[in-house]
Amino acid sequence: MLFNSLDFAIFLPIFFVLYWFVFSRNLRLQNLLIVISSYIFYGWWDWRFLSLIVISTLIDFFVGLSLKNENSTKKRKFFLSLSIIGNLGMLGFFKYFNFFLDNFQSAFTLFGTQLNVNTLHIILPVGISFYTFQTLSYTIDVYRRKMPPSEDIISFSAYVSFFPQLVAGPIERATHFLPQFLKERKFNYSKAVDGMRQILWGFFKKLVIADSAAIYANMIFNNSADYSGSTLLLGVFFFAVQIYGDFSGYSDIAIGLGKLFGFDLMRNFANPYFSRDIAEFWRRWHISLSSWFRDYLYIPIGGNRGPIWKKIRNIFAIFVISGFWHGANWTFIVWGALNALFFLPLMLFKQNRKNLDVIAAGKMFPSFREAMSIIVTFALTLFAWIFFRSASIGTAFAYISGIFSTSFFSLPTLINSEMLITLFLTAIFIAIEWIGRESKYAIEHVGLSWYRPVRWAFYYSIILIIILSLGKEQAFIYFQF
Amino acid sequence: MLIFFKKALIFGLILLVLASGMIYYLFRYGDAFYARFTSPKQTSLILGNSRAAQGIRPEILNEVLVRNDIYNFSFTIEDSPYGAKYLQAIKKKLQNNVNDGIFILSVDPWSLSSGGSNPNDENQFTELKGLFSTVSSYNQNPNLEYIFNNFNELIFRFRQSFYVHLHSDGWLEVNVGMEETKIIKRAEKKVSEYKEKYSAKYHFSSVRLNYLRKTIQFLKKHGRVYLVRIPVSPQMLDLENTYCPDFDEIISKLASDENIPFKSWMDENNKYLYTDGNHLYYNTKPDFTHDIGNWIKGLQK
Repeated sequence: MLFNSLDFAIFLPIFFVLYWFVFSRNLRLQNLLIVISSYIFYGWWDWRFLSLIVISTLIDFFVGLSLKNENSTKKRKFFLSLSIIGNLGMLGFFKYFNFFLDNFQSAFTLFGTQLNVNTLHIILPVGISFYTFQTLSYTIDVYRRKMPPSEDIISFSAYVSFFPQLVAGPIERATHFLPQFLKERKFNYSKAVDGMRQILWGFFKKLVIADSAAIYANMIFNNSADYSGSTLLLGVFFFAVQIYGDFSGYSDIAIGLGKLFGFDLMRNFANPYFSRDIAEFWRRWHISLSSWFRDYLYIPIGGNRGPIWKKIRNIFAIFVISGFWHGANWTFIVWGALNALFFLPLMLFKQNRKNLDVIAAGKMFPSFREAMSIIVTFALTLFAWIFFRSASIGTAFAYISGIFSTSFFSLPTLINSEMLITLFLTAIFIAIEWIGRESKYAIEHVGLSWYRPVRWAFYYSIILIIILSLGKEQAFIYFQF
Repeated sequence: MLIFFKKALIFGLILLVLASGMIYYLFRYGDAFYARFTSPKQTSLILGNSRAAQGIRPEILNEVLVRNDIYNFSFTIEDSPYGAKYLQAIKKKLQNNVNDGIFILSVDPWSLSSGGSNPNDENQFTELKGLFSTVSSYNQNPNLEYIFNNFNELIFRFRQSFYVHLHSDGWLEVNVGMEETKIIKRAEKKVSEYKEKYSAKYHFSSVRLNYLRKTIQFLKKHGRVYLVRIPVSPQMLDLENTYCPDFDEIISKLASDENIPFKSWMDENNKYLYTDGNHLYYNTKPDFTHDIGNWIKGLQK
């Protein structure tokens, strides 16, 4: 079920009424409602893949229980391996099987041997990368004795399948999220209103900004040979807007829904395009995934400790694997490696933790130096996005050479007059995001002190613009990861 | 929680009113077809594609022919070429008990052609995915079926509402810049679009011609039928002549078989002004609708 669908518009109020009016006095039943509703939400897309969530849930629940009374390190490692192999095995099969097979065949062909192995027609289950990482965090934390294992299968299933963040995150840690299923949730008026406001902003980002930008990003990327260098640059800009609006919009909706039902989900985006260097960008972009990799991969393999070659290896490992997490294509691997390259000098010169605060906090405009840092960081990000968006490495290079041609100095092609509307809306969107950069989401504090009719008029305007933008329905990009 | 619920309800109700109002407005004033699906059944019709939709004004025809019932029920090249779907729609839009109606059928090679591998294969007709396939009711106001089934691209309707106006008599008024350079640019684009999209991929369809005959035969039971070929720019005419050189002869023969009048205005196409080489501009002299009206008037004497 998509958040931006009629099905969800019917599903949500029903869930709300059942959750707060019918089952609010019994925590177990409320959690059971979450599980059933989440399964319906997920099964709406393809019920067959529910079995994967159930298997993942059962594996980790029982591994958790087995770890509880087990003191032998060998056996504890065995149980942890069981969970990792089980979860990553499913992820690997559904997401990477054909990729490895193709590359295996290509490698043999390179050495003169022709292998005739057919790839399988495998459908990628929506959200598998997200819930796999979420459940893995649980077993790893139980293994590390950071938290006690769950003994309640219902609350644990609710933790794994909670529908607002099931298919595209934020990837929640068990230490933060699981305890929330174990304590009574009370309806909080201000929290619910805040959640609604965040949901509204999320929909605006997705349906107005991302979906409009997607039209031009797709048009330009799919016909890149026909456009001038300046238009190609505009195409990457549109893609950057699309992917940010799409993914952070989804996260806002998920976090807002969480608030509506008494949960606190972690922040996933913190105005990444206003970053002053790549290290800051990665602290602000897809925070739940970056921090997951930091805690469960980067630090365990040594982090920034040890000799330089180890530091470099660790940085490349985390970025390349993070790229590969996004999809079974070399383009994602190159995207990850590029980011590692951008990040490396900062780390080697110990500059990677220079910009930890909010840019130009308390001021209207950044300093010249800050503005230049933002532009350079954004340009690097755009360069890497070309690989992320392209179908293959070859097309990415063709796109880049198209940009750096003499036509770069011509005016971009105006595909149609609606492109100007999209650019205008994007400019307004960036301005609002800039103004609200010290908040958890851009409109968190906008209009709170306004006279109610004015505040409501503001909300109505946003909703009517959203309705006006309907009809270009596109699935969320991150569903495919 | 009750306060939240109460406020959400009030907020939702106001939103419902605002959103419904906006959606209705966009369909009524920004949609090029909606109003034709909300008007009552009619007694006299102008039929054809967008050339007729924009080029023939019922208001003027009514004035010249001293009537008050002529309605423009023309759509587009994709939605209303002559075929089973359009004939069915015409039957639904026409009052059953009419016997003195006037029916002006606009014809051109494109409205009697089809793309795909076989132009006579009805399963490949474009209108199967068009308007008439999404709506079954043609006389309901508001037409919720139309709104629900065509609820897309509201922003496009919003933009369109500034330069397109579908009148209550079915005439589609299009207001675009008429500076010479703009007209030339639009005309070049239109001819090249027709070359690529239709001329290269379409073929004349005898099945469509047969549906035109069936449409004529049905309408003859309800009044007088006139066949017209609306003029286009010389460039567009060249394309049509290359695509279907004997079109006028085919239609003349059909008209003669069915004993109805046919007139092509192509010989006089230099007299008129076009927005894009394909559609007549309404605000000029001589006015094409006046000329049709006078032609019909002459025939009636």
